[in-house]
Amino acid sequence: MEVTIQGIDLSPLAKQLTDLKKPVREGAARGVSVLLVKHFREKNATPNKKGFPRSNFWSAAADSVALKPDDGTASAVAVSKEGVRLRWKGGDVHPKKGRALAIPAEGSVAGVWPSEYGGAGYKGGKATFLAWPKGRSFGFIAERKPKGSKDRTLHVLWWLKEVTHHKPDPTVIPDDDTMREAALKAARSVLRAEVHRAKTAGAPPA
Amino acid sequence: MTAADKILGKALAGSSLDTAGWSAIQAGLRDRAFFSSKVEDARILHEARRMCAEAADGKRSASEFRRDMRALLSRMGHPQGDGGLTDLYSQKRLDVLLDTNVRQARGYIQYRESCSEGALMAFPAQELVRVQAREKPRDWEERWARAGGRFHGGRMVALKNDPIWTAISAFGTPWPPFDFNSGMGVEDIDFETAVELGLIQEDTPIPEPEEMNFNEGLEAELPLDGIAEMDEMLRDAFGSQIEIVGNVARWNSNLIRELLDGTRSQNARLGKGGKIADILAEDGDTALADRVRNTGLTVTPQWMQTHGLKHKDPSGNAGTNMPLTVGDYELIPSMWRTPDAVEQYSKNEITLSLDTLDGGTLRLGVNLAMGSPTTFRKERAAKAPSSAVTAYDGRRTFATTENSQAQGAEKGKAE
Repeated sequence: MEVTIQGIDLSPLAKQLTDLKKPVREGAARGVSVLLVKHFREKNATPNKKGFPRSNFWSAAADSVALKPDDGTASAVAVSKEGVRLRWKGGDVHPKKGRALAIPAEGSVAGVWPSEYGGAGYKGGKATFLAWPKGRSFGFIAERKPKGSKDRTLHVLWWLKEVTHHKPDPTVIPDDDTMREAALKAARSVLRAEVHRAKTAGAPPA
Repeated sequence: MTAADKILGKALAGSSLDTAGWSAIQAGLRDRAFFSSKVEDARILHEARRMCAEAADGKRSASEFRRDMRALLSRMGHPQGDGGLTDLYSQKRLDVLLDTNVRQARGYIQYRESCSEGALMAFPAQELVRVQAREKPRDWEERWARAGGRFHGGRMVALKNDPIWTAISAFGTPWPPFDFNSGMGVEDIDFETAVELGLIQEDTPIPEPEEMNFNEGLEAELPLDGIAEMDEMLRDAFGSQIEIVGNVARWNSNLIRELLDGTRSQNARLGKGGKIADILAEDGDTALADRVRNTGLTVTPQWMQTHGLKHKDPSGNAGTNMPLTVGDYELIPSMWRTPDAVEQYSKNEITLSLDTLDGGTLRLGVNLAMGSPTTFRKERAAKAPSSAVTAYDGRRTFATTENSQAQGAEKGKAE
């Protein structure tokens, strides 16, 4: 069905609507960005499950939220922090380098890789013992105080595993409805501001 | 632009300035520079910048950054300190270096996005909020009030174009982080809440993006405020790393990159070789020292582009020469400032040398009569570099130095 209104030139209005597409997309995308940043920061406020010092993983996830270049038809929001997708969708992790993943066994080495520990200029200690029982898929790296020390018990710093398994967690990302609502609310704000701007400029509202 | 691009776009600025000294430098110049308090060697900054960019891209962890920086410092014979913030080997200092650069770059990207036309219409204001817990948090309410910030419903909220954002920042930028090791960040405030809080009225025009005094961050030229005082201070602190013409300052390291990629068509003047002259004078060659002292080095776009194209391609290099990278070219101002060695090549030409961290030696020939570079190449060092760096490249082998009861203990690799 076509509607023709004779005698009225709608082309300026059509142009205004076309010009409006980009700010609406920008506003809607920003709405989703803001929602994601807030969501990740709330997750960052929860204490570390193991009682280790905070790694601020979720804060870094919030910092990594960024828009993808607008292609003229759609805007996309990206979360580039490595590990977010794994936590969201689940999956297996294999070592990229070396043969094992090192999982901190205590807070003092949380966020520290074995290769940093005891490396050049490191002042925290020196791992002295690596065990990998034959036929097993796990091992550990431990430290023992030097001879003459009072306590010479073996102190496990990292557990070593060939693979770790992660269950999916849908709460890592807000649900679709919440994201849609955030985008729509922001888009409505853009439209309202644009209507107001058009009114004050004396032009017909888009 | 990505956060990594933002970091890589910064000029290497080696200086003996401490944190207080750097904070006296105009914010725009600081934002365009990659620096660390009291680090003068451009090679350290060059590697640190590369690794920070990789971390911003998610390709390097903080632990890898610390490990590789320490290995690099150790290889360069950089002295180890007391483990505090002034010690470049310490976890605290390296974390601040990485965290500040990565968060600033990401803050810049998010700020830029938050200032698009649509984003400003939907979210015209922002709030200063704590985003990471700290053991000893600073008193930001007091800082906010002291800088002239107003509280709305007890909250530190202001329009995005309010000067309060740069006023509270130790870095002079309107995006977070606002200080070293700060756990504060910003959160967008939507239009309706901004109206409720009394920040704007329903009919207040939304700030236009062009009114945001937005610093694109990559222009090499920067108008200076208070030029007379800044001029002397900048020359003192940076010597030939900075060029000041009229009331405009430029980082020479940025200029070199722009010459190489063809975005700059004017010559880059790298100033006079004062320190090289000092080295020659110390060696007793006073006549040559005097000539160098009065010679300014000028790099032309033609020389740079012809040279750059030829030497980026490994096939254009003779036997012992290594391919030159953009980073190598960026070290030219540093070579002209503080080379490792100076030799007289001919009556009118000297050769400057600088060892690089990938086992090469950069050699820059300078014609003193013309004040221009003649040759630039990287020679492979005669002996292999120290194993300190390669030993900790993420494939470190853990030796089982103690005999144990655990059966099957073996040497392995872990990461």
